[in-house]
Amino acid sequence: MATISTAFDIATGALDADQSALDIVANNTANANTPGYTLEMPAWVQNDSVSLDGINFGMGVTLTGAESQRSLVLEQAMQQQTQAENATSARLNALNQMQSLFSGATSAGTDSSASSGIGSDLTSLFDSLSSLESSPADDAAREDVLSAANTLASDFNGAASQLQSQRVSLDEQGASVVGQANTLLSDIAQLNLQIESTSPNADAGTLEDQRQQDLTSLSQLMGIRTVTTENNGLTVTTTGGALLVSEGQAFQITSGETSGVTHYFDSLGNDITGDLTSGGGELGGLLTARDQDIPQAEGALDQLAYAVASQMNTQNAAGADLNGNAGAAIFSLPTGATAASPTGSAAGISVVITDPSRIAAAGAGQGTSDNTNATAMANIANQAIVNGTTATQDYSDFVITLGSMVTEVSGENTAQQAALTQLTNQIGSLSGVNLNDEAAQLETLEQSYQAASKLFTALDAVMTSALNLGVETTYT
Amino acid sequence: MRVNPDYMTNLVASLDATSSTEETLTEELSTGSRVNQLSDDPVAVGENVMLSNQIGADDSFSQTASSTQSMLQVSDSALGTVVSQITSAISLATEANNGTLNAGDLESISNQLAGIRDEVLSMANTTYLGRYVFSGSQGGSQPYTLDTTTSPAVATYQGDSDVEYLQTPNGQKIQLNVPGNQIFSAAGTNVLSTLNALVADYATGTPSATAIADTEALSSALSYVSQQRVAIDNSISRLTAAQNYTQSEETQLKSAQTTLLQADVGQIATQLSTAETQQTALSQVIATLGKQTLFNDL
Repeated sequence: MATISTAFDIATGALDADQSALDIVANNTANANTPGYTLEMPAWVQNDSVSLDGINFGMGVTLTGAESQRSLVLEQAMQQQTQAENATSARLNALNQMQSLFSGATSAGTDSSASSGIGSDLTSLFDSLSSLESSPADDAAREDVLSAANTLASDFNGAASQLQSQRVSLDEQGASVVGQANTLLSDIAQLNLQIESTSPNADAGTLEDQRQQDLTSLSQLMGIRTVTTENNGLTVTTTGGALLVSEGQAFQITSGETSGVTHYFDSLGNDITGDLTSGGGELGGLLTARDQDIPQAEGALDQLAYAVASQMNTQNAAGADLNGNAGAAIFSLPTGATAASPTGSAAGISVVITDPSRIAAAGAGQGTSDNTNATAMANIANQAIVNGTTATQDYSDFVITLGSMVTEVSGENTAQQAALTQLTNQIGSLSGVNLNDEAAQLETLEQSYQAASKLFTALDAVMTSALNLGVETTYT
Repeated sequence: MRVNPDYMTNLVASLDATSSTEETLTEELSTGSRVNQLSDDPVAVGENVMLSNQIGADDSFSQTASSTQSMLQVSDSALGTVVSQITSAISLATEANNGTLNAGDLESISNQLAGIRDEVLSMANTTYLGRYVFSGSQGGSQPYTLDTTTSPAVATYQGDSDVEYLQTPNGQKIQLNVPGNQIFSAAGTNVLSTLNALVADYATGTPSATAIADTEALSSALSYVSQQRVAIDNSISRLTAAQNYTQSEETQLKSAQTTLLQADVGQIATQLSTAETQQTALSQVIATLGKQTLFNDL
């Protein structure tokens, strides 16, 4: 048979549970703006009923604790998306810087004195040669050719050296990103240990929040894969499978210089640079720009610089200069540069002749007012000398390629941002603290607490009545 | 249904996006160009490189053509003088050959003819900006020198037979010169040696036996020089035509370039005003929603 004191127990239990639930609401409200905080919900459990004389009596409620509202599937999806988004975003930054070096190509300035990049330099050079046709012996016209050649060479040098310094700065940024990532790896390893010891079988709440937050930060920096192991531990690897964190141990990424740039190694000493490049995260984007985009642009400029310089040199050598001597090389190129491997040509191209009379405007054996060779040099403008096309067309193709790449990466980045926003909304709707919900819950709990208290008062009256054997007095 | 309670971040992101749109539009308005980065329109940028190159070539040809034009005109007027000088030489010689003049008159005609020869010689040595226009490719050296120690005197050509051409942006070749040995000392119609011969013919006071033949030779030389002058005249008119063509091409290319790059001000203004409206609306939404939760009503 149920007793009044059982009812007391039930009411007391309800008050306890309500208080705990209020704590949880208070904690949720307090952490409403804490990054990485996951909404906690009170876990109410109905106590086991008691069967007396074949009748079941409910035994009240217990609050077993707070449950974090977390979806590991969503969080993992978000980490992947974060890696992809940060990679394109870092790459886009680098590409934007690159394209600003060549933005002269967008100007409509045809005035040869206005410096608007390699494209107009090429035009000026060939134009100065066609002007030389009408007055081949004229010093001023020759001077023009020389100065156009100098401008072209120095713009090639400028573009190459700026690309190179961008590459160096990307390299440095990469190194600092790896430093941050290493710190996070140690943090994750430490959290692993704590979680394994405190909460091997269930969600670890705040600790898990921290670990997920670290994983999100790490995903911004680099591409990772995670695997949950026994006892709620977590193994972190690179996308290629190199071990970064296992249980309580972090395996730091080390770095070293290989052919002028920083390469990264895992704990076993394997070069994981390629793995990190394709992996994603800020580091992936930086490395893609450093190892693919910039070298590609440098290569294209090298080819162009080599083709123009070598063609001009050959043609100049075929003619006779103002003193009747055979023409010498106008441009100098780095030793070892060939048409097949013109590496360093853009950075190393320079004009070697300083005396304008040494431009071979005349055909070999002709007099000083002959312009056969000047015409031939001017005609290089219309010859397919690089990549099966003219120098100007090649430069035009180069800016189209670069511009399209920026557009493409920018489009990718926009799409990834949209996907990331969507995932953030999904996670937010599950795990975010909604103050309206908390207010409503506070109200409900308040009423429930009041009801339990009222129950207590009523039971008190019943108990007094029982103790006084039905005489109505006030029990004090 | 639960929603993401942190909608503020999304709203602020939208606000940022609108601001960035406004920034792009403002840049387009202030530069007047819709392409300010390669990525704005890569193909247009590539086309712009090619157009600028062609415009540059046309522009520089127009300038070159002007100075070349002057050089051809100098050559032409020199040949014009030569023609009129030879014409008067012929009438002098004809007068001398009719047998009515005395020795003194003949000697004076010989002197006048020598003057004409010197004039023709100096025309053959015409320079333009320091360059001898009738010496083939040897523009640095004087084409003709005269040796008067012999009788008849001898003019020697020191140039070569090179013909120079100027190439237009369309690949057309325009002749820039006629070598002196094709005008003044061509085989069969040698102007200078004929003049020298005539000077010698009358120098003694009695016309020599070759005087009549020499006069006839001078007449045929005259028509030959006129023919050579036509080549220069042709070049002048071809150059003018080419110059006009490149100038009109340049105008067309420039307008193509403008169409390619120019910002459509009306369209941008409309977009800008739309972006502005959106931004105002977003700010108001943020301001309204910002502080409202159920807690306010508890």
